Amino acid sequence: MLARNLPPEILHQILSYVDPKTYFKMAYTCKYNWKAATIRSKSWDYRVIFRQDSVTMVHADADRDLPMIHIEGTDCLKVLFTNATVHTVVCHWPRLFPGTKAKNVELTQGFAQPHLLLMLVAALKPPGKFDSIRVSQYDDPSPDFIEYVNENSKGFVADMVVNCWKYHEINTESIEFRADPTAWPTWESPSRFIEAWRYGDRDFRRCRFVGWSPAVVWHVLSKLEDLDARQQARQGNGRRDGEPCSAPMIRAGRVNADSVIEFDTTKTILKIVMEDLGVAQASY
Amino acid sequence: MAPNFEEAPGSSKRLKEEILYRFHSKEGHEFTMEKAAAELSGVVKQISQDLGIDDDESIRNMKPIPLINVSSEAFHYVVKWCEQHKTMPPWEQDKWWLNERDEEMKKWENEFLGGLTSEQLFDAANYMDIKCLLDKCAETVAGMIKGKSVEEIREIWELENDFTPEEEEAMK
Repeated sequence: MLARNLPPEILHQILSYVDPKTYFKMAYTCKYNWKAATIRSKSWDYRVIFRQDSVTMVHADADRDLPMIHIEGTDCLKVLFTNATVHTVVCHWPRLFPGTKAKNVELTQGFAQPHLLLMLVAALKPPGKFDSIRVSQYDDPSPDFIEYVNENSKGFVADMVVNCWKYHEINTESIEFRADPTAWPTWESPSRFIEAWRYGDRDFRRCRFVGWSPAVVWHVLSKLEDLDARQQARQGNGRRDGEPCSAPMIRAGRVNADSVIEFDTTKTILKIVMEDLGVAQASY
Repeated sequence: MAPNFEEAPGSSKRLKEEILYRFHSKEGHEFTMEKAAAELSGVVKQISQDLGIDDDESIRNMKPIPLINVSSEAFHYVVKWCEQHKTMPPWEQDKWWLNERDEEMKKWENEFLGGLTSEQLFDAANYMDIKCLLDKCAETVAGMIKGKSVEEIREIWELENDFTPEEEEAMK
């Protein structure tokens, strides 16, 4: 079957089945194909940087090499994008790397809206296949996006994201918050986390705070325990209101920023898992 | 060998009991296609909607739909494809992973398209807006160029390099 002088819409359909490298090789074959390949990019153009194991597209007229899309390796899909890129990816590669072995996806938000992000993630791979979805600079996820994360990833890694918790809907197997003190005042993240916690259903099993200072973790835990104790008091099980039961462990230096904090939502037990010791200690 | 249209599944000599859409190919041949099969085509559905065709009797009384861009040969294969797929779940454009076929159907599709050498079917699928066929054609053609060099793709698609050396340099 030939594909000579096919209408652009058909060509795009073909291109949805090939990887970006093949896409650009096809575009280089003749003027017609070059035009057809870029027909959906009327307002902008891009250039491609081929390296041994990666393909990066950048705006041709950009004053800096801000990647629109960067795809490398097979273990992890790293996608950096702007709105235009989301459109490009979804239009040209709805089956980006079909059969990819990637188990993780990393997304860095440019100016994309949550629903576009959702489109992109959905376009990358059939649902239910990711070990983790990691999102940077993502502050205001739509309910659709959270639903997608819950359904399609065992783990969700969010940089500087605490607002997600206001929706208290993320219930993947693990969630990881990575603090970035350069982007957020150090006091703000835990405050917002606590605030979010108050609304939350705590439908998750593992939570890791990476890059949070022990003092901040202690502060958070104390507050959480405070809430937890009050809840238990309301349930009449005799715990003293406000008792920060994990405090001794923190004072002893056994809780640090790399500790994994586990919440058993069914029994309302807060546990701190000391990864280095490989043991779990009940917090009360 | 060119198909015998008079004996083909889409020929007009079909049982009267069936609910059939009628079509005229580019060359003026009349074809028929069973309702469920024909309605895989977005164009057929749209025309029916525009004409207010909402029952079987109206379909029977409908004039043949003119397909001015679809050759008889291409339409013959379109009919075969649609008859084979008429009981499949509706094509999901966005959730593409839901369109997975079972092994038997995949085998049939590969054999069906593997024997074709013309892009006419591709054009017909596009013109008639038959998404499942269009998608399979795209996958088939894409498979031919995967991992190939620019020169190899030109050879496969019989393309002439019409870029000037300056233009080629500018694109790099």
